Parts: sequence; structure tokens; C-alpha cells
Amino acid sequence: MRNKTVKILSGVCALLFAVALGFVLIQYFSVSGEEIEILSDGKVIYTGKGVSAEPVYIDAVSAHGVNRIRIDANGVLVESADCKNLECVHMGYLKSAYMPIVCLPNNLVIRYTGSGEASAPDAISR
Amino acid sequence: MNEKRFINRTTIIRLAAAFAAVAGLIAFGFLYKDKWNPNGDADPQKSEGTLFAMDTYMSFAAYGENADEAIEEAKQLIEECERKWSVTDAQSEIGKLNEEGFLEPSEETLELIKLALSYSKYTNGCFDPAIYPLVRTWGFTTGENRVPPQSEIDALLPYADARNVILDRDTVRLQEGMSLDLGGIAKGRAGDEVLALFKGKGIKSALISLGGNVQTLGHKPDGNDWKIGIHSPYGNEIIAVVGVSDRCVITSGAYERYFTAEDGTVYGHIISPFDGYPVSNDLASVTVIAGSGALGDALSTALFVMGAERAIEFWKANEGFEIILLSKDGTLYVSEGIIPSFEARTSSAVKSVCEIKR
Amino acid sequence: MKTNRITKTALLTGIALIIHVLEAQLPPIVPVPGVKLGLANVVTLLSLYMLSPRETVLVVACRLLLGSFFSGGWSQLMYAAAGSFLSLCVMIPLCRITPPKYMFLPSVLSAAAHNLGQLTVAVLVTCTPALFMYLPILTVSGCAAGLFTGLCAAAVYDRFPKTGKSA
Repeated sequence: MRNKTVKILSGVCALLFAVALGFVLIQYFSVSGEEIEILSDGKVIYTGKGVSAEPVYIDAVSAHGVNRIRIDANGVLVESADCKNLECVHMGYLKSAYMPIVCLPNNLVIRYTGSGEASAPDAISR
Repeated sequence: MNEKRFINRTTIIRLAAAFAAVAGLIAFGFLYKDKWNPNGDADPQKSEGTLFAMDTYMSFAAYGENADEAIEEAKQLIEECERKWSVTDAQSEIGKLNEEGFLEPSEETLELIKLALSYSKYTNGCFDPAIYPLVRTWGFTTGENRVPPQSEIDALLPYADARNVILDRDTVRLQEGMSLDLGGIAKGRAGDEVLALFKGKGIKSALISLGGNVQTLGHKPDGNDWKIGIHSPYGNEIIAVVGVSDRCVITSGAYERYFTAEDGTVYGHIISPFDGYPVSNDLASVTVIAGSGALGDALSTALFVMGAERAIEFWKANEGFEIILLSKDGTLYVSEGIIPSFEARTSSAVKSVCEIKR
Repeated sequence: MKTNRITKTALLTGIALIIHVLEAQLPPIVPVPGVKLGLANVVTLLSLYMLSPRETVLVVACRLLLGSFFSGGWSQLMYAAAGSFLSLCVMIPLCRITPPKYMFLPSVLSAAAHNLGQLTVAVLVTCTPALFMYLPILTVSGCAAGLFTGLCAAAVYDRFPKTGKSA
């Protein structure tokens, strides 16, 4: 009985790990679009392009704190925040289409809209 | 004593090795992330340029080492094309042809005229480069628009027939009263030549827009298709987006160049070679997706002249291009081949989308 | 005997607390919220094999409460509680059927469960289901962390005198 339990458990662990790893790879290598949205305390405070030739600053003021967000030519990131762990700042630029930038203490989420699809066309035929 | 325990030196070493292997794999993946995409080149040099030519605004974007140079040469190439083909320039080859009725054209111009004539035949005359006498009389190239009297239209109509153009070896001859306007195909052809130029310079990704005629070379640098939006004939909206690579997306309609007569009738610049009047049928705009800009340009005009039903029949009977037709009643017809890369957008112009199949 | 168990419970709680607070001082290695080693779980595992489930719950609960008190993360308590709850739900039954030698297996699964619990609370709090997109990376890191802590726990257990539950 013991051996069987161990084998089953090992199998489940390995499977879980493999599946999760698979998803991580898919997420990491997926291409994202340019439209982003910023949610503070659950409300959308900004939707628009995630890149800007001139740096644009947005202060996300939530019930718990403030995050200063910058959109520049390279993308969008949290420049500074008053949360304790500053993980949102360490995350750098928003990269993958599937993993948003979050500041849990300040209830801030920055993500691409339309998860993966570029909604702004490259050119317009008229 | 060590060997009996489960977690002994050996297992730790094995685990460390396994961990190192996995970490190494992931690090490897990180480092070569950009090469992962076989078509993609993470950050190739993007070069851009703009130009005002052929009476319109043109923009270029190309990726690659020689992109800057290529774009400069492309601009010169387009200006050269305009010098040769402009119908309003008496010094251009076409100008001279129309003036004298005879021309020994340059190689490129001869090619273009032959192409125009073959497309005319292909579309049963719906695209007709000999339409110029009518275009001129409606005032579209002179800028002085007017509604000509019926008698004038009746008189000019017989001249608007490409079948009467005489090609003799390397010369072109026009009958008395005829004149050619390659405007319906020149931009597309120029675009093709620009892309050929880019290709020759080793450029693999490019996107050009010649007055709204969008032509693409290869994929985007990241390996995805170029996303080309189709503009609504009515307001500032996009009615659909198509993903393409190595294709042109060319739209024709009566909404960019038109004039309103005294009685309020709106006349567009695409004139029917059959009745001599600006096209007024059930179509609001026609978009053609094809491998060559010249074909796309000519076809979009021809299909607009045909009207929805005949245009759909034409597509069914022929191959090598896809179409998106917007009818005035709000139906968007999308041909089968472009459906996989077609994305409708919410707009006031489109009420329903209809797939056309062969 | 009861005194013996109380003492052991208290000791383990103390150790778990120290580990917890120390780990909280470390800077995050990866800027993904919720990725951490969870070394205090070594103690949780050990207590499951050395004591009973009931006592283990005590150890964990005390560690969480006191840990938040010491490292000042009251808001974190919510997340930690949800995570630990789910983690224990997985760990307790699995450890019952797993021999101590293989305690890293339940550890892997319970660590993944812990992250799932924390993520769920985060989603509920921020009302953004999109956060679930973090599940894969958190599961991967959870499995890895769980494996590591599980192996550490097994190594420690190995070196204990095999007196088991008795004095």
C-alpha cells in the first residue's frame, strides 16, 4: 500500500508541475498587443496605448496608497509606490500578455486588454 | 551510516544536479527567447519615411540593416514613377501619349500599360484605363468638377474603350479622341516596385501605405501578420481588421474624392466605363486583398463598378485574391479565404457580416 | 504526556515563528507576488509527523498570528490564512497516508495549494479574475519550494531520534 501511495503521489506532483510549467512557457512567449488598462480599487482608471513617445505619468490613488505609473517608449511600469514590498516596482515593464502588474496592498492592476490580440491595427486601408 | 538515510549525500547531489539542469534550461530559454520565434527578429532596426507624391500622402516602414537606404531609394523610385505616369503632367510618358496618340514607352511604362490592358480584359472592361476623357470631363483631374450634359457623355463614351488601344511590338498607339489614365493602377504598381526594391536590399519585413493603399512585405518582425484596418466610408471608424503577410489591402469607394452637385447629388471619382457616370450602386466600399498591388488596385476599382452581385460572382469565378465588400445596406461580405484572419469591429456602418464561399 | 506534547507544540511554534520572521526580512528574489520559499512549512510538516493534526493546526495558527504581529503584515494575514488553510487541507490527509521518508510529496502539493489559496483571496479582493493568470507561475514556484522544504523536513526528521510520539 505504501509503495502505491508514493507512486501515485509522485505522479500527481510531476503532472502538476509539468502542466503548470507548460502554461508558464505559453504565457511567457505569447505576444501581446498595445492597449492596456489600469484598474485601481477595481475601477478602470485608464485605457489606452501602453507605449508613448513622450513619457506619460499616471498616479493611481487607491484607498490604501498611491502608485506612480509611467508610460514611455518602452512600455508601462510602476515607477514608485508607497506599498511595503515594492514588488510592483520590481516587476518592471509590463511584458507578457497574460501576467499583469499588480500591487496587492494598493489594489492596483495593470494589464493588456484583449489578452494577446493587438487591437490597434498597424495601418489603415482607405 | 550515511548511506542508510534517505536524504544522504548522494540524493542531495542528484537533486542539485537536476535543479541545475532545469535552471540551466530555463536560463537558456531566457537568453535565446528572441531566437525562439523563427520568423522573428527581436529588435531589428525600424526605418520610417513619408512622402507626398501622386497627389497623396505616402508612408513607409521597413525593418532591416539597409532599411534607411531602401526607403530613400523607394521615395526616389516613386517620384520617378510619377514622372513617367502622371496623367496631369504633359511631360510624362502618359501625358505625351495622350497628347500625340503615340508613344515608345520605357520598359516599365510598357509593362504597366500591358498590365492595365490585361486587367481590363480580365474584368470585362469594368476596369478601363481609357476612361480618361470621361474623368477629365467630370473635372476630377482638373479640380473643376461639373456635371457634363448627357450629349457630351454620349459623345465621349465610345472613346472609353481599352480594346481600341493598339500595341505594336514596343509601341502604343491611341485612336483619335482616346486618352489613357493609369491612375487606377499606378499606385499599386509603384507599391509593387517599392517592395521589390526592398526585397532586393534584403529586407524581410515592410509595410507601406500609398495614399491608403496598404502593401506589405513578409510578416511583422515578431512573426505575426500585419494587422490592417479597413476604414469606414462614412465616419472615422474601422469596420474590420485583417491579418496579412505579403499581401496588399486596397480599398475603393466614392468617399474620398467626390463632389456634390447643385441638386445635392454626390458624385464619386470612379466613373463607370459603361454609362459614363460616377458609379452609384449598392456598394459603399470594396476592399481587395491580393498578392500584387497593381492587381489589387485595378480590381478594387473594377469590383466597385460591378456592384455587389457581379463582384461576388467575379470572385467566385476567379482565384488569387480575396474581397471584402461593404454594401450600402450595411452588409459586409467577406470572402472565404480571408475569413481566418478577419476580425470584425463594431461600427455604425456594418449591420451584418456575410461569408461568401465558392 | 500532555505536558510533553504542549512543550513540543510550543517549541515548534517558536521555531516556525523565527523562521517566518527571518524569511520576511529577505528581499524578494523574483518580482512575482507570492513567490517565496515558505521555510516555516518545514516545521509544519515535522509537526504533522511528530505530533497530531490538531496540534499542527495550532502551530500554524499561532505562527500566523504572532508572525503578523511581529513583522507587521496584518493585511498579509488574510492571504496567509487562506493559503495555509488550503495547504493544511491538502497536507493533513496526504501526510497521514505518506511514509515520513516521502514527506516531500505532500509538501509539493500543499505548497501549490497554499499559493492557490493566496491567489484566490487576491482575486477576490481586487475583483480581477485576470490575476488567475499568475496561477501557472505560482504553481511552478510552489512545487519547487514545496519540494525543497519537504526535503529539508525529511532530512531533519531523519536525524531525530526515533522515539516518535512518546517521550
